[in-house]
Amino acid sequence: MKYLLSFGILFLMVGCHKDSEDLIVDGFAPVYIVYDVTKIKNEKPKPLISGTNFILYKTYILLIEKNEGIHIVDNSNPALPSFISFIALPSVQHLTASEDVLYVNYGKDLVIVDISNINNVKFLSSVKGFFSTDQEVIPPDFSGYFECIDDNKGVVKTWEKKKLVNPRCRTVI
Amino acid sequence: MKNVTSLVLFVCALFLYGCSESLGVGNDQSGGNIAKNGSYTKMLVVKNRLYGVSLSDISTLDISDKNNPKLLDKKRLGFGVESIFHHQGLLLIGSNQQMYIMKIDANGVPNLESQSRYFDVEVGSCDPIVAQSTTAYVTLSPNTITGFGNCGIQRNTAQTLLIGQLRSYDITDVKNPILKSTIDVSNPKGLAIDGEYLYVCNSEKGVNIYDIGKNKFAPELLYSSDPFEAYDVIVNNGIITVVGGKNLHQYNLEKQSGKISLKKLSTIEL
Repeated sequence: MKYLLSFGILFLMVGCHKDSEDLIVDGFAPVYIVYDVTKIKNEKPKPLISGTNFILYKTYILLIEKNEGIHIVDNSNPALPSFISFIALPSVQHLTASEDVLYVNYGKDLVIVDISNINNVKFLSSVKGFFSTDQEVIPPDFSGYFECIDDNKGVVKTWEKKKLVNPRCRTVI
Repeated sequence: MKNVTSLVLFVCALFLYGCSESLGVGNDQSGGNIAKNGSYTKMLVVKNRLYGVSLSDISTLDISDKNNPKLLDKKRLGFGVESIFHHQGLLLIGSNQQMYIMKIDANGVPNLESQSRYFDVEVGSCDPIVAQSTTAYVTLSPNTITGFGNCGIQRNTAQTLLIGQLRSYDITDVKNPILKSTIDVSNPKGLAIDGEYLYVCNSEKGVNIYDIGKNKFAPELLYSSDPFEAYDVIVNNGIITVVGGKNLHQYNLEKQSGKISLKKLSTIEL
């Protein structure tokens, strides 16, 4: 741990000296996507790729397709559930619902959606930075250098391998 | 004397006013209009408050006006927070190191009552909590990186559990939860309670059902399903919904000559 810490400090100093040689390393960089959450809407149903978090709401199952959106499943007959629509929302991971309102995350923001008509959902409001420290702040299952996330560029859709020049972020634990 | 009476009346009126306000307009007792969350949820609604946990904090939002929600409170918790569960005015929060118990005050703001570390040393485990009556059930999984139930960042310094655990805690005194039992389960994930039954997802091994009716502090394994990917479970109106990998399964609980089993109703798959 001490070794890591000293390495981190050394690395920071190297970064400050612009004249010295650039540090070029293999690492990961975020791939951003920008989505206008005020235009959130129902789309045609999509096949399920990998279900994660889900909720039961009235006679529906709302199931997150991680980072892609939310499947709406009509479950009035649990023996015969059917996909009725899909709400695209990049970076989505969390959801809950109450009183005709759906709460979901868009990156670190909370988005509040009117689902009184589940076939015609409508944006109500959003809260910036509600999830202040969310999970995907570093590339998953990775230890090393990465390009720091810039929240102004959108939300992180995925991570890609990249040659990094003087990266300022590194996993330290 | 008259003054005292009016003062008492005034205080009573204040009290009543306080009560009616804290109950709020959109309370959660109005039938099926509140979502049933999986045990891995990071958000839930209680009355007119939305609680959300991030990796290291909990935020409280006043959602009385959905067009203009207001952030009421934000409190820092330890690292690796993964799940939140509401139980009788308490919020039980699971992280990769400990169970936090918070009490919701009259204004709907949670305050920390206790935190129970799972291990003396740092162990990279994490998983959710459910509760019934005065008992909380926690699963501790040996895998921190699963893509689901991933409670954050892998910490290389952390030890890894060799085998998972299902724990029960007596939370009668919320300031001092007492560990009552620890049961080995190979790789437990999400869990749910339905009356006398405790459902525990066991990763690729399917679902275990425990009897918690006889002795709530000593869950007794009644049934292990055939193997399938099981990561989280919700039980609602007798229907057991399980998600895992590429599938979402729904079951009924069958009881025949004293034995229970899961009877599949449907599977949604790719």
